[in-house]
Amino acid sequence: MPIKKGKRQKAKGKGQSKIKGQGSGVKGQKKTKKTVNLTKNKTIKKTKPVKKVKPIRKAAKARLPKKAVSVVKKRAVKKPVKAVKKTAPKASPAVPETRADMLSSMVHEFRRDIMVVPGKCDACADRGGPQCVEACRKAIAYQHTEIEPIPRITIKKANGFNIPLLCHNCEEAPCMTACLTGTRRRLAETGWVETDYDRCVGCWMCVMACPFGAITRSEEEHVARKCDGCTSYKTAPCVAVCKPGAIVQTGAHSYDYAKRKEYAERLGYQQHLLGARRG
Amino acid sequence: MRYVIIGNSYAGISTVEAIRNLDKEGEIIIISDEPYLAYGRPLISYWMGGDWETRHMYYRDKAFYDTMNVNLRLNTKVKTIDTKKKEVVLENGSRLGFDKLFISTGGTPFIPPTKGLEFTGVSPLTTWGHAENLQRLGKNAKRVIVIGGGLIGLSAVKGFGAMKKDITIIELSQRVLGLALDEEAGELIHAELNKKGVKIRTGRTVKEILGNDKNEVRAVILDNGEELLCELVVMAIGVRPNIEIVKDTDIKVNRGIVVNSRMETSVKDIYAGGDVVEAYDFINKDNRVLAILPLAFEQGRVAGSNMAGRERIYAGGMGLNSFPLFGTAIMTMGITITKEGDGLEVMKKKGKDAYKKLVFRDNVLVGVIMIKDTNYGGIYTSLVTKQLKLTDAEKKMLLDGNLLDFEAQRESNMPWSSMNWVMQRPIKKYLIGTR
Repeated sequence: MPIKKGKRQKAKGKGQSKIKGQGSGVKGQKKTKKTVNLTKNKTIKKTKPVKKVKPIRKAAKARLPKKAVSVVKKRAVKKPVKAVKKTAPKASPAVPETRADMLSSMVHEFRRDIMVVPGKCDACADRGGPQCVEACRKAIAYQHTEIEPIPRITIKKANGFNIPLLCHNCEEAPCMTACLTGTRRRLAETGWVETDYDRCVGCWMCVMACPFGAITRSEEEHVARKCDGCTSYKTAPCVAVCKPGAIVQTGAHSYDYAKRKEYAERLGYQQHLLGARRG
Repeated sequence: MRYVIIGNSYAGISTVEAIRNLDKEGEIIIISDEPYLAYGRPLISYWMGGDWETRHMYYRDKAFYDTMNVNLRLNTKVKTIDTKKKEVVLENGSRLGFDKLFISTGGTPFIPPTKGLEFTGVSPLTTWGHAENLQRLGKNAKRVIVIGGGLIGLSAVKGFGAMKKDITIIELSQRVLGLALDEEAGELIHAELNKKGVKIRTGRTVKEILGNDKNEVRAVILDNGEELLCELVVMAIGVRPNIEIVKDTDIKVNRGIVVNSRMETSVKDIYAGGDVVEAYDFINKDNRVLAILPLAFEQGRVAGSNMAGRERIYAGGMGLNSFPLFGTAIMTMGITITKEGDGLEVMKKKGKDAYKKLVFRDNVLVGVIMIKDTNYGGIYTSLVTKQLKLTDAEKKMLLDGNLLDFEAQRESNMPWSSMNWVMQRPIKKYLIGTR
């Protein structure tokens, strides 16, 4: 089921690129159009979109490749249409009042998350060791000048499964809470809990706070290292090399959607079983 | 809506963040009696020793206050609080009205009455101001005496150790960090301190401080009559909640300010958090003062959320700390000191200079000491916080095995994880085949 849908939408996207461009534009700007329509004459209505559409498309183009996963695109096509319908009757201001407001809504929309699809990891048995670990080692090598780079992702075997252990980018991250110097903070631009390692004092408070064991002590450097999300890359290197699709880069929403669908399918199956039993 | 926050440190900052999450318009005023922006308080010892730059001291920069739209009033002292009129009375007599108030005045150093406290060179070490003072005086000093071997005392040792001073710790109990470490761990730390040339006098107190004719510290006299020469004395016996401003008000005070699970004090619309409150401790199952940074931040977040109108409950905290002492990392949490016959199960593992101790109560992990190897200690913290029942095999794994293996094990056993569904797949195939 999910594969079919994806194909359809891709085809649509090619044919109706205009809609796509508009749809994936910034929410706030769309809303402004509506309010303008309400207050001013109809003649302005015709001229305005022609002027405005282009910049929106440019902005969309500039923004989208950064979060280049197809799942994000899909949602971007769907969601804004719904959102406009919902928000239009509300009396709330059409344009976000502050830059922080706009950013927070956008971060919510486009924010990056690296998630683990359980049970899919095969520890790259046929490719000579976990590729994501190697990719991580390469990507963060620039941070380590004195010692061998320490990869921020580990793959452990338990109960017959390979389990990738990495930072979960918690919402109210305990490492952020425990940080003495305030260097570990969530950046609004990327949505990731990032660290300025110059300001890390090596008190190991975050090591004590992280319930996932995702923070490594680098004792020689006296710095606590953790996954930085590789936010300067379009796709995080560990995700890019993962062939089985055990690590995916996605927004929380699309992941949530996929998960719910998975569970729904599972539920359907169980009902089917029940029916069979009754019969 | 006007929010007034007294105290510009961890609890105050997290309150501001929590309020601004929910309320973008309300006016926020922070009152602080210090002249700095919020700074990392435990960093003062690093800064004093010259290991830390001044520009890296700030916990939040100026831009933070601007984006959060905060009216910051530095160098302002609060005299008292008028709970009936809902006003804060400042020291210069002016009054400041509030709708919601948050008190996070933190702690003040506890200094027992001793003869000779007035000499220059006698100072506590809890604020940046103290550190500046001690750094200036330390330039001409050779011998430093640190009274008290707690966390602040050891911070002072760390700072002066970096300044290459001759340090003596005077501690009343039998070992440094006496509240957190047991005998074996204490020995390791003492050995580490001795290796760095720090002298320790345990079981002793200071009876009197002597000065010279320039009003400078010359020596201290211990309770056994011994005289130790020194140029600086750091008073690091402990910290008490700073309850000065709420003393003569309706706000209920025990050892610290009494708060409920919403971090609200006995007076409506007045909240408190941080080192000044008595909050819930889920290990000892009572309310007590826990002066610990992550808890202060957590309490501020809960209070801020409630102040802005969204109900949130503080789940409770426990005593926990992580402290690097000259390259030896110390991590402690929960109940660490055990006696025979108190019904606690203890597991120990001792290496050459490493030590690990786990304490269990009814198969639930309640306390940990880790020395030297503190990797992935957060996994212990989460086990203590969640109060999970553990099997014997798991306990053994916690003590001997790799903690990441344990985490992977736990992840694969989660009942809600879709991992379990993957496990069911072969069964599914089997069922379809039979149908």
